[in-house]
Amino acid sequence: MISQESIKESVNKEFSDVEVRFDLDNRVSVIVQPNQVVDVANYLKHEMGFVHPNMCTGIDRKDSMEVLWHIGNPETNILVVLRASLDRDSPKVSSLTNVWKGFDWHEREAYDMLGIDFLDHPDLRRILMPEGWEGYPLREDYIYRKPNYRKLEDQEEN
Amino acid sequence: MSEKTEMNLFMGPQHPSMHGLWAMRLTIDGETIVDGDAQIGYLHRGYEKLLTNRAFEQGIPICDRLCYVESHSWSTAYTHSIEGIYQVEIPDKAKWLRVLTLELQRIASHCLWLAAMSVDIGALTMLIYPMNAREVILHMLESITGARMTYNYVRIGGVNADLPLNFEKRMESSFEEFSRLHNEFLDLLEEAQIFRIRTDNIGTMSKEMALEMGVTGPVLRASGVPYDIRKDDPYFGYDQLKFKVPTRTKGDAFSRYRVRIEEMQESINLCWQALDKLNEMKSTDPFRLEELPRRPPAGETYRRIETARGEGGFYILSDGSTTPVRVRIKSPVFNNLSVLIPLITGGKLADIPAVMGSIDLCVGDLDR
Repeated sequence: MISQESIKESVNKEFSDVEVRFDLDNRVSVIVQPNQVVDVANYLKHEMGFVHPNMCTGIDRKDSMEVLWHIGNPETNILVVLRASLDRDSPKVSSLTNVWKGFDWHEREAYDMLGIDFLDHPDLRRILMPEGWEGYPLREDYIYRKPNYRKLEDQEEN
Repeated sequence: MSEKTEMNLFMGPQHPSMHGLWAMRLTIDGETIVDGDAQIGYLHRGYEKLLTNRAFEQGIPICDRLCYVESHSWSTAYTHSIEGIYQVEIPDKAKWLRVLTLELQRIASHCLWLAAMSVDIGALTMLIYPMNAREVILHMLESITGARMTYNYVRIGGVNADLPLNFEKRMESSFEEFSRLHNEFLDLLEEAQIFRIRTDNIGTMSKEMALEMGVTGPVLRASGVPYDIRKDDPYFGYDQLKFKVPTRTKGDAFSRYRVRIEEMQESINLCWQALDKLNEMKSTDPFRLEELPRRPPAGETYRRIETARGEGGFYILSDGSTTPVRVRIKSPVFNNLSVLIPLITGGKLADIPAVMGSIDLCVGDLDR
């Protein structure tokens, strides 16, 4: 039986510098450095049975950019939340699409809405907003009353 | 270049089988699909931004409009997450009222899906029969909530109203009527050979692929994973109710169809069980918490429910003010649709409506 404590124990055994925190409603936060993301993700998937990608969320924390990957396991009701805090001016982090294919569209959305650059993502482009949209609508400093698009023709000239 | 026989086809956004607004850029070789790219976002209304600009309780009627087919599930999911932020337990009566209405909503949603999917694959007669049956369910929901489609029935800490008088009688006659219609149209559909030919072994999704892509709901269960949030992460007292989780192992369009049909039957059982629980309660028992402060504590949570299409949920981050800082909507269709292109690649163009219909799209919660 997987418990919050057993997840903390196993993750800390493998990665001693990773902070594991218990959140509300049986969620376990695994807080990693951006360069550790793929290693920890592979461990969670292949050793701990977290095979079911749930969603990827980007949060603009004003002084930094945070990325959350929720990952589920059909055996338990615990969700692991893999978190990485990024530099707000150039948010870059490795994509987890190569670990869980299901994060493909989710990471595209986080790029679309917050401008987070997922390195090694196979197809990183806008998904919900039209091509040629300027700016990232969910950023805190985004002015959203003004129409922010350029015509596709203008874009191709540049 | 001269040997190349491939051509590009833009399918949608106004194609009748696209279930709303979205499009596919397909590369086809004759009738065979070589490659494709799904283009979504036509119905993007910026829900995640919208909700952070409003007080918590103002989001409820907005979330009702997230998906027009099962609005109640979405407003409940939103409220459920807010209750997670407040860390309050809702009264038992509210729980059972929510279970009852959620299951009615599931039946109504599956009826609409059945009508749409049948029409997609050419069974045009089938359009009106499930819609008729859905109307019976919508009348029941209307008698509880006061509205046919966008209910605005849940509140933070409970629900808006108790059951109307003599609801049990109404439920009995309505479900009788529903079952009669249900059996009638299932005979009509499943005995039609064309339906079987067009759905058997079409769009087969393996268990591994379904898990890898983060698929949830009936689509996942039809591929052999008995994963249902109602069982695996119970909420509103679903753990006290007895129900089966219909599962199939084949993973084709027909399996997905069967899973949903069986789910409707299970939902009727669940409605009766919820009503029994409600009958055990006194009419003076509260169905809503008295008063909650306008400002919830700072914190974050992600709570989820099993909507008709799969796992739907809200991640909410609160800083202790009257509005949330960040809301992220987990849409089941977003994941389920990302499987579509791999599923149809290599297949025939004419199979697209069958596969798409069996995935059960709702562009409202796909684009958010």
